[in-house]
Amino acid sequence: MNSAAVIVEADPPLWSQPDTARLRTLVGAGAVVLGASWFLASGLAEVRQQLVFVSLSLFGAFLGLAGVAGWLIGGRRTVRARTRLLLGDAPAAASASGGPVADGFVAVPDARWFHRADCLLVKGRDLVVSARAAHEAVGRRACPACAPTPTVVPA
Amino acid sequence: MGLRNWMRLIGDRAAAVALFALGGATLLLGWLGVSQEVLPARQVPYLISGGVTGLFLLGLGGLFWLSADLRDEWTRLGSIEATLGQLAGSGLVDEPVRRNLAAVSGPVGP
Repeated sequence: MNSAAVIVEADPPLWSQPDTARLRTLVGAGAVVLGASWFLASGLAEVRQQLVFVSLSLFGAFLGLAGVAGWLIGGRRTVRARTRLLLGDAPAAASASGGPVADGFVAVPDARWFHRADCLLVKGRDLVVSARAAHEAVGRRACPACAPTPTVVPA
Repeated sequence: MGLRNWMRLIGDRAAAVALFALGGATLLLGWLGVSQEVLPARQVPYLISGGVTGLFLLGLGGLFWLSADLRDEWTRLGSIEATLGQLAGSGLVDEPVRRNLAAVSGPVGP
């Protein structure tokens, strides 16, 4: 096997089985509480007695939606962790003016390569935006992956 | 993106749209039910089955929609990881990223 070979396996699941089980449990429990609240409230003739079940139904909805929120927050956290692992800790900040300039190329500080602004290799990283000549002056070379040429990003 | 991922994304979004529609319809039916009853005690069950359940279904629709977005992002990260892995041996990828890649995917070049 080539030493440069990479083991790229199928994408791991975004959510683990316990995450999925927790979501199903909470949403299921919420749905059951909602159904039971409706069933019990419809058998009563007094509004005052029914209000307990209205509260219970709200609790059921809250339970299910809390499961949903937990699921989404967990997923977002996992995505952020993988993003950080692949693209680094730096927050996305293209430049002081808020984004890559149209006539410039981007580079990660102290990196050897400069890229087009939309290159996947620099997406989400803290970037230095400069003209091609400025990058080349500090010894950076054009990224062969995104091939930053003046025809790609108009000067 | 593989066929499986694509089907899953489409399935999630289709489920989200279906749940949004169902939630909206449930809210509407609840409102219709309440508006046709005079006695408050007969309106409350509609409040639960139409109002609260409708909101619950809309929340579930949001779950499917947002989880499809997350899966989409996850798949893109998978593509980035694969691309970085392929470029690792070429010297294009900086050392910290290569170390991270090695941690998640195995050895990534000299």
